[in-house]
Amino acid sequence: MAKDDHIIQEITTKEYEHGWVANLESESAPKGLSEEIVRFISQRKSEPEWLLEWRLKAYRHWLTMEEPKWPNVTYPAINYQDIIYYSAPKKKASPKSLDEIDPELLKTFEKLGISLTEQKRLTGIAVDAVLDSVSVATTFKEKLGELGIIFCSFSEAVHEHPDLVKKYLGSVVPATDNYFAALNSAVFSDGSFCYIPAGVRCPMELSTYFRINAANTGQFERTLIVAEEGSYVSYLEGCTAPMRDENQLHAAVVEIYAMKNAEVKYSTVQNWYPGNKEGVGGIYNFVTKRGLCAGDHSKISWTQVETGSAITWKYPSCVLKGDYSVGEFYSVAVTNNFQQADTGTKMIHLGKHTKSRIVSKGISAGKSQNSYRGQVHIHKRAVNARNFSQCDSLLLGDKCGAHTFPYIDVENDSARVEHEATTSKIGEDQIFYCQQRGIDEEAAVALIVNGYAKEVLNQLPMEFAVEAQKLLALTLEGSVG
Amino acid sequence: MELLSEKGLPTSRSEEYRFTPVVRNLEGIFSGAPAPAAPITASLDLIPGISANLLVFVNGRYSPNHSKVIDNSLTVKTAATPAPKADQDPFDLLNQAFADELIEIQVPDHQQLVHPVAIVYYIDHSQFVFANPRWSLRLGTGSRCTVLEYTVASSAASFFNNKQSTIEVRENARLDYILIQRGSRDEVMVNNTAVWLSSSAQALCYTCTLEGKLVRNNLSLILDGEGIDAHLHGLYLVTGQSLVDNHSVVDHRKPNSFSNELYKGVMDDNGKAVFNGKIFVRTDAQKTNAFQSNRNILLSENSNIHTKPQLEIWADDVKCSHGCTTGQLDEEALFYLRSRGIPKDAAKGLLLTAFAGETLEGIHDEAIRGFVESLILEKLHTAHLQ
Repeated sequence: MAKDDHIIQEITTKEYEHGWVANLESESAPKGLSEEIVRFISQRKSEPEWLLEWRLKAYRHWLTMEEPKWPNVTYPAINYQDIIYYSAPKKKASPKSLDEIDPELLKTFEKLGISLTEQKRLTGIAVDAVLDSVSVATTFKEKLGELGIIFCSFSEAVHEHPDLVKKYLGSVVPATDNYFAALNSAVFSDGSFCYIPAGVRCPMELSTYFRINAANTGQFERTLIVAEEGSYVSYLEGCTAPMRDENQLHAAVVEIYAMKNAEVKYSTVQNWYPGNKEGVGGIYNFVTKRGLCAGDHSKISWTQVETGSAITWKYPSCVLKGDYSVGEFYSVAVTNNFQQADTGTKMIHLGKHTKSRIVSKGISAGKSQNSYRGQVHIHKRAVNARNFSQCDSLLLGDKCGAHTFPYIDVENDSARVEHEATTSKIGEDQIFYCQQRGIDEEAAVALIVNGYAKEVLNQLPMEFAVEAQKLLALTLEGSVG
Repeated sequence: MELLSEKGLPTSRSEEYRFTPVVRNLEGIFSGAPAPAAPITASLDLIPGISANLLVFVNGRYSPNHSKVIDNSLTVKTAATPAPKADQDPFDLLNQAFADELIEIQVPDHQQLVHPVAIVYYIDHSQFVFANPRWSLRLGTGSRCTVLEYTVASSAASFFNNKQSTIEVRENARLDYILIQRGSRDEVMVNNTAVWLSSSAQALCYTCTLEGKLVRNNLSLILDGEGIDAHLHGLYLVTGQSLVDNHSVVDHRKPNSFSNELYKGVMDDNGKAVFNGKIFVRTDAQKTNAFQSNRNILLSENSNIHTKPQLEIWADDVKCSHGCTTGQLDEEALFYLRSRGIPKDAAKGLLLTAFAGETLEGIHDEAIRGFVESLILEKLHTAHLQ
């Protein structure tokens, strides 16, 4: 037991490695939220009239809404007037090439290990980097352009592909969907836009990297992915933030629209600053992610590794509208110290012969609370729908909690729905077994946790899997070697 | 009543009553005035050949005249209802507003009752009845008792039975609690039962729902001691326009206890079922083993099921799991039986019987188990095998 305590202590003393602040000049909007601010953001980005209208509509609706109280998390009330809704690194003119980009900015991203300079062409990942609220660089654009793939920042898309944006913006997550989605719709500053034409298989992984840098700001980005008939894309998302004492709000929206036979794979490694070990500071991560399998035989797969954020509130969902469409959700959520996570998924089966699979692995340590909340809804018309869910929780330490709230609603008699969940700590017999064979306790815990999360980590693209494994190890350093 | 009007009765917007529109079902038929007692014509004995201590509530009021205590050690007293508290369930408050007495049933320490205690709700069928029975049962240290609870009403009766009860099981005592719900098709039933268990107590709670327009069971087990062995079994066969809602809570507050929950359901016609099983494991309750399983079969196009198994765990040295499935009868098993010359309906019946039968394990008394089984068979027969 003494050893356990020691391990747990080590876990809780682990510091955040991305906690530095980059010295970038930035310009931001004044604090607070009003119609003026919404107009300010829209004007700053020289947006067309329809988009401003769309934002204002969302803002007015947001005013009528109430912050949701049902998630199993507690936090002091957010003062929405105390947040800066727009912050952008100052730039001279829009950069033609990477050489013109602020070297400080490049350094920032090199620190994060993200190559904006295309030296590391071998890694073969196209990156769109978003700092604070604004997309700063997108790589490999030309190469992708040859195939007709559009991969650019959201503001660029608004100007260059207004028809596409207008058609699909809000088609999966309406501006009035929920409290934070409405807030995002009103003030979203940038994000990524991705369009894969029919029949194209995207040759490389597309990636967005988010970083909150400036103090007091909230980050509200919006990602829109449209996959035309028969296309395929694998999309990665990563995020970090500096260490600050106050809580910062991150309310993003991700929309995926998949046509007939299209497949989209969306992977997230979320590593926002989780607050220090007393639970001070950290990011509030309130995100709406939803994919629509609009066409027959389409497939959307969410994979997430959640290690950061003071509070996570996130349910990547799939609406399975097309017949034979498939939704998948793989998640590892690790909480430590005073972190709270309420995360899970929604699988809405509307089409015939639709299938979904949910694998969720929660690990709680320290004084954290980790909840899985998921819904499987088999609609009346969804003949022969099939779902399998598994959500396991692992508890490290006796002060943390694990909660499961699965909602299973079945309205069709031909559906087969299975759900199973377990909660346990690492068995003493398992550790004993390893020790008996000469593996020390720490390595044994590492082995068991890795094995526990393997099913999800295996779903990540290669480049990300390495990062995720490292992250998992760091978050639980001491117990995972 | 004041607390209740402050709180209001739950609507479909409230999380705990999301799928169960109790209030909507009561609108229009709610007269409020307690119905007068009438002479009893029906037989109150549930199981032929088993004599029991009979405690009869006529239209929600305890009736000593109809009751019959045959075990001398059993005491039944009438007491005033306790003062209401704000955190009570709204239906509990509603009951308190109308019930003016609490029936206290006690089994003394170290007494093992020879006969089961049958708690019978007799409903007069001449008019709509709003019944609010309320009782408490205490099993003293080392005692043992079997409780049977059921309703007797003619098939035409229409009523709302809003029952509240608490059971206290002291150290080393054993409780077998069997609730059989087959009053009438027009029955609206809200059933609040809280069972408090002390160290080394054993309990089996069996809820069998066969009939009723709208049935809501709130069963909570509070494991407030060590070395407790608790089993919750349930079966719901939902046909016609019925809605059956089982909400259960298993609250582990102390270390080293075991709980196992198994609820199974078959839904046909427009039948609708809700299952919500909460398991709490508090910080102190290390070495807890808690298991839960909910399995459902949907037989018709219009039947549906909403299930929410919920685990909330604050202790680390525990083994907890829950599983839940929804599906149909196994095609291959059906094919197997049919290929051996068993007609389709019979094969279906055989598989359903086997499915339902699993919940009966754990009822120790063979006569009772046999009787419940016969009820299930009868229900399956009338519902599916014509």
